[in-house]
Amino acid sequence: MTRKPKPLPGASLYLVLALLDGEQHGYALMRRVAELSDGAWQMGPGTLYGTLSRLVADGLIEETRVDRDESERRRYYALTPGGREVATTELERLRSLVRRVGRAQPAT
Amino acid sequence: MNLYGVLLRLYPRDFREEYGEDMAQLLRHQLRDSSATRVWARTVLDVALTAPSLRLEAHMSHQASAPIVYGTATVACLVLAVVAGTSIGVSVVGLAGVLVFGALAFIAWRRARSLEPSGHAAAHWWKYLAVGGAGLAVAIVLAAFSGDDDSEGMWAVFFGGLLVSVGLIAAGLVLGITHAVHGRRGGAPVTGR
Repeated sequence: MTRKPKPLPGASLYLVLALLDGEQHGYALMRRVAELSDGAWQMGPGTLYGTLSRLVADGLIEETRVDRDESERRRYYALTPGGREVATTELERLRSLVRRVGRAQPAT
Repeated sequence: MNLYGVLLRLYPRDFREEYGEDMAQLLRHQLRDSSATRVWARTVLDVALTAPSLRLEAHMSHQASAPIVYGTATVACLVLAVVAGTSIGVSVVGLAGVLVFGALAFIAWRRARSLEPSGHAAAHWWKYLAVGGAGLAVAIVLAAFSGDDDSEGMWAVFFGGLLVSVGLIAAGLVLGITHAVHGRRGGAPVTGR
């Protein structure tokens, strides 16, 4: 019997969904998460990098490249094949939730 | 930004070395794009919420520590059930705790066994013994100096401290034996980080 994967916690969920757009660096990810959540998730540096390090450790995302100039460096992250599968499963779960709730509620 | 350098020190060293520069850079970008007061308020809250959990994770790997935590709770509940033998209600609660935490300890141990190199958690046995011993000493000193204070609050603190200490000592002994057995079977025991 195959076990259903547990839903990801909030910060991880938003990050893997944001990475469905393709590889991104930390600040772009933070802004994308704020945009996806309509401003509800404003990640601080600790939450962002703490969650990224857990997702890397879990094998859901990977660091793809590092861009450097004189003043800054940018580390880019992307979904691994397993991470993409988890992200699309999560997306489908959310779609299914919205469909079910939509059916249960009268049209406004 | 120097203030953030100080706040960064609250994070575990490995994490800081890996992500500290990126975190400071992210904060610079946020300060450039948003109100400084709002960004700083959010950042201080962010540090307060994330640094303790990352420290805890760094100190003890979650997979390895869960069986020990649940095992300690099981022993504490067992002691509670025995000590409170005259009160049926408390004994029942203690035995229920033994069943629940015992089951959780077993599940966590099975999971940790398949994910962690064996002996990793056991290498920390002496820490449990030391903390448990210190707790026991504090509980005894508190009881000796409490004088005529027979309040229920005082006794609750005393027994609570005693139970946790005994639990930690028992966990330390079990881990120490595990560590020694592992060392004999597989050569050198695994050293804790």
